[in-house]
Amino acid sequence: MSTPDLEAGTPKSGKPVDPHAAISGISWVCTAVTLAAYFLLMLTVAFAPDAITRPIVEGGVTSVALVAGVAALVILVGVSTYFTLTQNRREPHQ
Amino acid sequence: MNVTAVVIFIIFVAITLLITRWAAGRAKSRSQFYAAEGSFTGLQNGIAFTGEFLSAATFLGITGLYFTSGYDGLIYAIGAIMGWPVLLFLLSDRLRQLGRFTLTDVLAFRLHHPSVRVFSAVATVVVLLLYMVAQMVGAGALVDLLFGVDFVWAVSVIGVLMMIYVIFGGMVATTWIQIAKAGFLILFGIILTIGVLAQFGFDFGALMATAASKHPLGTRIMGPVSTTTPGAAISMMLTQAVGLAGLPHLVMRFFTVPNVVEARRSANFATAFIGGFYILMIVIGYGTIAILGGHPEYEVGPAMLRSGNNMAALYLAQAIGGDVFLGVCAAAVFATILAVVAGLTLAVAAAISHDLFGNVLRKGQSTESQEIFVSRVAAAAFGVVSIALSVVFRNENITFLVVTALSVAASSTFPVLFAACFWKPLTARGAVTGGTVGLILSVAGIILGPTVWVAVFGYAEPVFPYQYPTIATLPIAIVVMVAVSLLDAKRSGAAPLPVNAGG
Repeated sequence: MSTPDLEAGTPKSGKPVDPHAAISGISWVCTAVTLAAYFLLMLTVAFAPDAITRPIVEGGVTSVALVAGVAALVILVGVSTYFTLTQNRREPHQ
Repeated sequence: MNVTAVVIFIIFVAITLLITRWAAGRAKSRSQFYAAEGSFTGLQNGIAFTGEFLSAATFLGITGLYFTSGYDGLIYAIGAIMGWPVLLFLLSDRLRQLGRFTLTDVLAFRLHHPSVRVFSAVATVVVLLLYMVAQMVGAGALVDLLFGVDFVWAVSVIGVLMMIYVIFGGMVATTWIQIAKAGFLILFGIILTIGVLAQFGFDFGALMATAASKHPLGTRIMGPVSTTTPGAAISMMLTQAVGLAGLPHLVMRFFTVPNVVEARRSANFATAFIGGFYILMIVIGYGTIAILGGHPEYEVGPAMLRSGNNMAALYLAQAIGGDVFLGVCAAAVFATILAVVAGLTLAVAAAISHDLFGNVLRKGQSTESQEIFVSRVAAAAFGVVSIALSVVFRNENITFLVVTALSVAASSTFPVLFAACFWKPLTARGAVTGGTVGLILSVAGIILGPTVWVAVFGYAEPVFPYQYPTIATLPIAIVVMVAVSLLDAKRSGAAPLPVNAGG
């Protein structure tokens, strides 16, 4: 398997690119935070569904699960915005 | 026949055809045809991303899931968007730096062998074909409901329109149509949410209490219902967390902006718009139960709607705003389907013409006009095949079909793409073997699972227990990919691949 691909190695920008350059720590942290929120929710769904089906207030019907779901969405949007603003400020000319 | 729906639909189609005609003059070169020459801003591309993501499956399928079992709709919605962290935080920079026109270009930057392009192009076609079928099933059901037109004719009309968009307008037309459609759908979602809340005096608690009182499952719809077996839940979690990053038509969107900064901004805008829309859908989803539940005009059995639960959003619109609202809702969904299928078709056409024809068959010697011609023929062929398959799967829940596509992507394109970006010892043989094993096993798992084995073939029990086989196929694909790559390295004296300097 050694036949070269004619277009391989020609990124659109034409600038030298190291495909193995380390990505910033903030990328990993943001990924970990959002996926942890999601995995926590899904693992609760999988192993303890009754725990999150109970209502948030006595006598109501709106459940802990619903609030947790909305929280997961809000965390994702918040972290995504933080990541974009931080990275674009740090590396504005890429 | 709903005259309002027909009029609005015709107006939308006329606008999109005008966009296509305008864009046709800007789709002459390969760069213009496949990637709009990187000319879109972060906001524009973010809205287009949103349009790509908020498909008919999202609007019709997830609303239908809410109506069927309540909270399960939110689980699917959250899962769908949770693929974005991997895409935005880990891959967006790398994709924008390494890619040219297709997902395959990113892989080929690292792995210099034609077999990589063949694998990637085949995986692209399989994944997007499944995704496409979901959209076509939604389109056919909608036309059937509104106009009484036969399903086959309905999907044929949609198919012809999408071919026109892609064949003549390329990425420029596809992106602008996505932008128009996303704006239309979000605006409609806001209006529908306000309409639902208004029915309950803007009291969210009253809405939820009414929903629980009308659904046969009662307050159980406030928690997970159908995904409670740990294996099924974990498999879905894996599918949705990583499958999105393996979707070729989403990866292609990163090539339509000029730089990494705009790529990040576009993904961020998309995340915000989609997240906001999913919060609106909680109201819309539970609103379907509260308003349509027990309604003799719509409900034909416990949690079962006339014409199927995929139509829940449309019935809700009609119940709130009469035929005018139904017409606007139908037009929004039509717009959604047309725009999304155009994006999918373009990605498949690019994989066949640029990757298979241009780089593998012609070894990079094809002219731009030859490649664009092949791309147009591929778009037409893909349209015909997807119309045929949509007839077979016409009774499936469209959200399940979409997640099926994600499952194949999670087991085939994603592990290879991720390893190509982050794992130095990866070899072409390892990538192709692991990806192919993941592709074959995931397709087999889906066929042997409940979605096809039981629902389509009619067997009583599935051979594979879960709807989405990712829990088994993703680890197998990774193990094979790693093992073959390490064996390759051992055989060749462990010489690492040279870092490609580009240009």
